[in-house]
Amino acid sequence: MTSTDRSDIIALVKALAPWAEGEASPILGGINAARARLLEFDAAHYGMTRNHTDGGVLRIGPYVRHGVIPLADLRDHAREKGYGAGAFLQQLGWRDYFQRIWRTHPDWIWDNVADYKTGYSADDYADDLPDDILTGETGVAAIDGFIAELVTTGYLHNHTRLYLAAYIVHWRRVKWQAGARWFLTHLLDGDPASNNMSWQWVSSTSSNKPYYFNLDNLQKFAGNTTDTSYARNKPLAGSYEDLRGRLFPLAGTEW
Amino acid sequence: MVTLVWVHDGAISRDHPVFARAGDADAVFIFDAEHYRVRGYSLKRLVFIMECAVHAGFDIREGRYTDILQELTPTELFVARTPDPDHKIVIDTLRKTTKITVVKERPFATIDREPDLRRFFRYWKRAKKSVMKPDA
Repeated sequence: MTSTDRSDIIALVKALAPWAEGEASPILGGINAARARLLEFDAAHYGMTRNHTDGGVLRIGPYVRHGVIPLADLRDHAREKGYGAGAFLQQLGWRDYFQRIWRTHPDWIWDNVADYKTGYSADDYADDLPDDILTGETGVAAIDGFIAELVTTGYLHNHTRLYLAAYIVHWRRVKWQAGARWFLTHLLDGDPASNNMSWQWVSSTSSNKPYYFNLDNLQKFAGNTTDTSYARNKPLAGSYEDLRGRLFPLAGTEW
Repeated sequence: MVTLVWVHDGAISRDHPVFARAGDADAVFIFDAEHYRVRGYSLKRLVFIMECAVHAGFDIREGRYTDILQELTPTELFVARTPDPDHKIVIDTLRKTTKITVVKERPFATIDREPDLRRFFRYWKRAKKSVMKPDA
């Protein structure tokens, strides 16, 4: 029987995988940690705040990803607690949807489902992440904060994932696959289906238009958790029309 | 007659139906460091996975999936359904010498036939009823 002491588990993993980079996450593994999250969850607060990066989201993804809490059990728990009327069960549906895609369309996981709708072709995007993204030194304060959170904790709010993915693909013009691989290195709930299909959606290779955001949106939804000052986030500032012109000057009129 | 449950990292739970199907079979979780190295996992991912397996009380072995499972020489192997291509390769390899039973998870949504998966809301339109209502 392997010791359940965390320091022993960390030492064991370091011995088995000496190549593995970084440190352990403050997020604990195991069924008891998962159950504790369920007990703390406030469904009413979730419904009002879930799109904000400091919102009352469950953060149960890592446990669902590894089957510690089966998705059907989480659904039953939600029904029992009365979450069913809100958006919670629909959010769980995304996990089921992506798993179905992985089983029935495995080629979608790493290949572009369709062309980019950005005015660029796949060849216009870099194959690899630039060093300043890997080190979290882009000079865009909010983005650097998100990167630090990803690398330190292995967890990001869903909205934060979208911001970071959009920055990498659209501001820096890097192939979504490079970003997806990087997320899978770090995210405790990193699952090729959920992760990669979300990157494809942001990129526009599985959707009708690219997902992008501006500083106003960032200030509204992430202003309480990260530096969203204009002075330190200038590349993100502007109206959506301005940003469209800067990021997608060659895009057509389909969107 | 040795029956065994292979607990892979997509189903680290004794609540998975694979255990009901396997009866009182032993269960093993294999930490395949090479599998994770190829995927580029960071230490925090590995610690999280190991912590989940340890806290579930599974017998933990270290090594390549196929090697360890072949060493344990089960006559029948039970495994939770997995979409992971690496897991599928292991299953296909062992199937040549061992009876394998793949067990599905409890369904989240009950849908007659697979919907068009190009858009989430086409899926959700058909899944919603069974997800929202226990008796749907």
